[in-house]
This record gives sequence, C-alpha cells and structure tokens, in this order.
Amino acid sequence: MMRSLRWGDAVVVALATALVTTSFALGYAPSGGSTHLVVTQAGMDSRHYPLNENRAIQVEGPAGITEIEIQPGRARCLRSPGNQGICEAAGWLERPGDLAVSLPNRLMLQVRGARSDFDSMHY
Amino acid sequence: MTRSHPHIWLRAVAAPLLLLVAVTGCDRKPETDRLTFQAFGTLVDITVYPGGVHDLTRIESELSEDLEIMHTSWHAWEPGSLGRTNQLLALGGEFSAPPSVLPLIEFAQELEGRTDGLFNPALGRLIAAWGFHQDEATGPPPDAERLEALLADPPRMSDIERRGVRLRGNHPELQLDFGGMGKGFAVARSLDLLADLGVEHAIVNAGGDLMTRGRPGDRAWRIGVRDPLGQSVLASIELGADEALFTSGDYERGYEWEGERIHHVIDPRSGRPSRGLVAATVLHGDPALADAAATTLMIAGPDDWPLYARRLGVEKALVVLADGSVELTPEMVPRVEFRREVIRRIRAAEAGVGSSDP
Repeated sequence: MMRSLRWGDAVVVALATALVTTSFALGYAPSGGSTHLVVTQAGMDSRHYPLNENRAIQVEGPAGITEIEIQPGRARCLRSPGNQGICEAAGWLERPGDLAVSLPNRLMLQVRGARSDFDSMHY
Repeated sequence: MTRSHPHIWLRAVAAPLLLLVAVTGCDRKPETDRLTFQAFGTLVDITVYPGGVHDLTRIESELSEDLEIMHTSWHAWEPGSLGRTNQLLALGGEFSAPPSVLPLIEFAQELEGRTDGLFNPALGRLIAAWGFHQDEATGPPPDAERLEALLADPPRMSDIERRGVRLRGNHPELQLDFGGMGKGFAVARSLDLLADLGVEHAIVNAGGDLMTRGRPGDRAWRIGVRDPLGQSVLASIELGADEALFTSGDYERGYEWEGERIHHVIDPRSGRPSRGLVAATVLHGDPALADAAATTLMIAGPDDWPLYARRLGVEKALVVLADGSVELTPEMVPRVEFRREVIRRIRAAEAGVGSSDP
C-alpha cells in the first residue's frame, strides 16, 4: 500500500536529486572551456596548447623547423619548410576547426574547442 | 496521524545514490580515437569509434605499411609497378599487367570515355612537363613549342589495348599518372583493412580526402570543410556510413611563375592548368569515383561541371569559384551547412545556369 510523502521526504528527494545532478555535471562536463591548439605530427602523440597567452613553439620535422606563434585566442604557422608557403598562408587560426598543414614536416595544426567540433577535417 | 515508513526514506535516498555510484563508476573513455601518421605521400588521419577499445598501434602499423605499398606501386615517377608498366607500354609489346595496376587502368579507361577525355591519366608526360613529377614542383612551365608538341597527338587511355590481364601500348608517348584517382583506391582499401582489424566504425582521411564506414553510435559523422580561399571552415557536412568526400583544388600543389599560379590539375584540352574553379568537391559512395570526378569537374570548369557530374552519376557536388561564390547541385544543398556568409547558386546536374539561392 502506498503511503503519502511528507515534507521531509520531499526535501531528501530534492537534495539527493541535486547531488546526483551536480555530480553528473562535474564528472561529465567538458574539461577546459577555452579553445586550444592541437599540434599533430606523424608518428608522435598530439600536443595541446591553450590559446591564452603569447607563446612561441618550434617543432622539428623531417624537412626542418616549423615555427608556431600563439597569441591569446589565436595561433599561426609563422615559418615552415616548403617552397609553396601553404602552412603560412593559412594565416591566423582562431575558430575551432581552423587548420594549417605542413606536408614537408608532416605536421597539422588545428584549433579545437572544449569538445571537438568535427570528427575529421576535409581539405 | 500517519508516520512515514522507514522504507520510504530508504528508497528516496538509495535510488539516487545508486545512480550516482553507477554514473561516477563509469570510465570516461573518449567517444572516438584519432591517430595521425605519414603515408601515401601525405598526412593520414584515422578516426575510430568507439574510443578506447582498439589497438591503435597495430592499426597504424598495418595501415601505414599497406598505404606505403600502394604508394610505391602507383607512384608516377619513382620506380614501382606503375613505372614498370609505363616502360612496357612505351615498348609497344604485349605484357601481363601487374595486379596492383590493372584495376586502375580499367577504371580510368571507363571514365575517360564518360568524360570526353577530360579525365585522362594517360597524360603523364604533360603533367611532368609542367614540373609536377617531383616532390616540390618549382617549374619552369613548358614553353609554347613544347606544349604544342605534347598536344599534337596526345595519348589516351583507349591507346592501351587490353585482353584480360594482357596489355599493349599503342602510343609511344603514353605515360600513366594516377594522381587524380589513386587516393580514392587507397582510402577504400584502407577501410577494408580496418574492417579486417575489427574496426566497424571509422573515417580514413588521406590528405584531406576521406571516407566513412559505419557510424559513431546513433549520430552522423561531423566533417569540417576547409575554405579553399582561407584557413577557416567553409562548411560542415554530416556523413552517414560509406560516404566519401573528395576535393580537387588549385591550392593543393603548385608554384608561382612570373606572377601566375601554376597548379597541378592540367586541362587536356588546353594542356594548361585548369581555369575558373578554385575547388570541386564530390560526395559519393565510391571513393575512386569521387576522387576522379572531383578532378574532372575541376577541369570541366564553371560552365560544364554540372554536365560532367551527371555523366559520372554524381548527384552531390559543390564547386568554389575564384570570387569565393559557391555552386552546388540540388542534392548537395541539404547536406551542407555553411559556416560563413557565402553567395551560392544551385545548379542542376546538367549544363545551364540554375536558380539563385542567396
């Protein structure tokens, strides 16, 4: 036989529900709310750099050194081996999905958000 | 007065706590895994679903080895099966085709006929004359005299006589170059290999051209399409299972010569780099066809690309013009979500200007 809930029961249910909801949100919220630069080089683990401060990065590849410049909210391929300048021509990468590629150095630079916007980039 | 029964309290507290334990007890595995490596002369990016369950080291090892074999076999200017085939074709005698090369020859012969020769992988010498048979093309372009000689009696795929696996070349200038279709074959074979390795849901992306297999759970694959005129995302496209997305663009390989951009997509009619389109994108279930069709549409140019899309059985295609505007087939419209303001026109899959859709 069902018994009617009293106010104390309701408080407990509300508190328990709040506890579960908060735990779920804390446990499953995407980590880091800002965009970051992912540097992927063939045969190596990806490296992630937050786009929150000025920073210069040098990545050595088979064809030489790729220089990457990071400023708050954006990054770019400053110099890279190769006579076509494709990596540099990508300009500032700012929004999730923005991409620069250096094939001579087997390198890909991509801005990603807190959660990945795309499963793959077509270019 | 009714006292609440202890079981009510127990249920009220226990149920959420059990849920909490269940939720926090789960591992936070990534939804998908990605790995990137160099193979087939380009950057290969593999996405597999679900994350955290596949042997990524083995996948990379097996795929890169297989792709390197294909790269060597089909390389247009380095020693390999295709190089040997080109030597034998030039001699004019009958010979047995290497098994790795024969399917590409058959496919190219069929497509050449359907495209009025716009897609013609027999023009390797012309491609080489523009300086694209080296890793870093630098020029110079061929002079007028050389170009005239190359176009006087150009070889065609139909100059290869085929009887089963036996081939004979009937044109001394014929030199195969599968740059406009090899990647499509390679992507298809890589997906088959992934299936052999137990991967049912994946994207194989080779230098930006890609194909899906399966789906990531109950959603579609999300693909970002890079703007050929800049670094940003032009559009997003959702792909289902077994869909290939291939683009041919003037930005992929090329060099500057006396202020002119010389790119690698050569128009067999003029013998010069194609003009009018910056990029042509094809969405199709057959990656080899998508690859070859993208090249064909790029060569066909702004007026004729819908005509050749229809001839190749391509319903979903999109092209970017030099002014940044976009034209697309009606079937492509619902598949594309543009990420920037863009002037777009819908073109039915036949010649003629269609309706505007600003």
